[in-house]
Amino acid sequence: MIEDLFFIEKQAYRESLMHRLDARVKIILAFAVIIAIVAVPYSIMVYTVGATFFLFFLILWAVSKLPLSVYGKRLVAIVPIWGIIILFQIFFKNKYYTDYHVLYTLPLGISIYTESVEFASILAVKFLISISFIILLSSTTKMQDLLQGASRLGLPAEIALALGMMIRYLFVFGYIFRKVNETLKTKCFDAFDRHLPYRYRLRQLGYTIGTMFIRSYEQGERVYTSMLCRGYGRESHLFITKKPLRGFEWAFLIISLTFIIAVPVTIWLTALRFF
Amino acid sequence: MHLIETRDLCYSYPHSVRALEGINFIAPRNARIAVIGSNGAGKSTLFKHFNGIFKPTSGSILIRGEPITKVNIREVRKFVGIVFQNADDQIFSPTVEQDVAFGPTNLGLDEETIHHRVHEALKIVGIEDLAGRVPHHLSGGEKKRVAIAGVIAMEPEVLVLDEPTAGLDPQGVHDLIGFINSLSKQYGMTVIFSTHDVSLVAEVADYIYVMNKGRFVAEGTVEQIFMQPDMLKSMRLDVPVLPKLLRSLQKQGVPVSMAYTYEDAENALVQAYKGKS
Repeated sequence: MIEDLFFIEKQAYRESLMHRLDARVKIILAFAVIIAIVAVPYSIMVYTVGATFFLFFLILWAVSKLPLSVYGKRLVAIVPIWGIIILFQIFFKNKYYTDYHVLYTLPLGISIYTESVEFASILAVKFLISISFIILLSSTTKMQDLLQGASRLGLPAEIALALGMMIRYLFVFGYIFRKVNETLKTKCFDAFDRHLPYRYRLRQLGYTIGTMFIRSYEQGERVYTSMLCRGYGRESHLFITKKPLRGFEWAFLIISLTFIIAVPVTIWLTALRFF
Repeated sequence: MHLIETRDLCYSYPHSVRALEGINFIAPRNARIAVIGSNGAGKSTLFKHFNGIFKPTSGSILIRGEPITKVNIREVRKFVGIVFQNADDQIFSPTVEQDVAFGPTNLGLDEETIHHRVHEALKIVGIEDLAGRVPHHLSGGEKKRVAIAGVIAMEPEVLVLDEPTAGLDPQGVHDLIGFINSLSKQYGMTVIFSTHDVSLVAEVADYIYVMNKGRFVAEGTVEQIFMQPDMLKSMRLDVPVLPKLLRSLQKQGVPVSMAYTYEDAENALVQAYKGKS
């Protein structure tokens, strides 16, 4: 998990047109796609809209020059969270359908419905598109740029300051975690080493986690002290300068937004179906 | 009127023994003051009183002749800048520029002034090219400079450095010596620092306070303090290598005058050699 943090950062530091694009453009783009796909009614029309958006995503991903394996790895990492939610939908009826037809009957009176499977697949498309654009955003934008972009778009100063500190100390603790791990390895401790007693391994892990908690608490105290030394108060905020978007960025943003709005509207009006 | 003055300052941590006992400290204008002492002597605790982070249990602390109150606390923190030992405690913003700008932003300055101050501070510590970098990509020495720049950007008149050489490589220590001296000579700032590194003290300080178990056990000029090797040893400290060597040579009959800095020691040895030949 901690190593994923460094992995994401490594991708965000690559060089491409997508990486150079102002964070605000990418944030607006990602949120526009998410709102558009979520706003599409629960019908099979979602497949066509989803496929068009996914194609758009693939083009942008290609522009970012990132390997598809990066996308794959990050997508798989999120599957346990959203995959289970979607999978369970096939066993339940929902408010979007009135008639249900049993597709399979399982023991203990559990049934899988055709309509529920369709609903789950629609949900999967919506999730996939939303997550893909979030992955694109976070893989091509440095965390500090994301924060600055969000602040320039109107994120409240208090939240920006807290998020800024969170980003900073996420990495500080990432490095501390690495050092603790290295120390444990130096002392030949492996939590999965079956030669060591189970209780002993559990206790050592408990100590390690406890130490991390204490260190984070103490770090928090020291940081707060140093913030006070530099005049921290109710009005404190991150220093973020004004930065106008360049002509190219405006053009890209307008064209992309037009496309994102036009796709679901056109498909809805023309009843165009790819599937 | 002194910039900082403490009178019989005492401090106890909650549910703990006394950390400071009867501290009388004076920081005049444009001075370079070293507070030396072993671990746990109370140096950091004392420093935290200089800008109102800690309040004395008894005694008083005066900043430009005035006690620290809720009304003047912001002004005091602008006046006395503290750089802590661990730079990671002090760098809490996502980028170097934003971190250095934190103090000036809190002072309510306009964007242009903040920008100017940030880049001036980065220039003074020699890391202007790191403005857009993220702190976790910096080396220990670079982080230390960022932490110092963050305090300098507030334009304090007194700079307090807690163990400034901790974790620095020899070049980093050398740069820091030059930097501390330039703050005093070029900008007329008062610099107060704590250290275990006695060789650094001779190069940088005009006046020394020796601390042990929350008390000042000695104070004086570099010469006055380093003439007491037994006292320093009993405080788990030592005399710097150069005066130690010169004293040893003197004892063996070499007519060499005492010196404490590298430059002075070099001159003393050259003079002794020339005198002999």
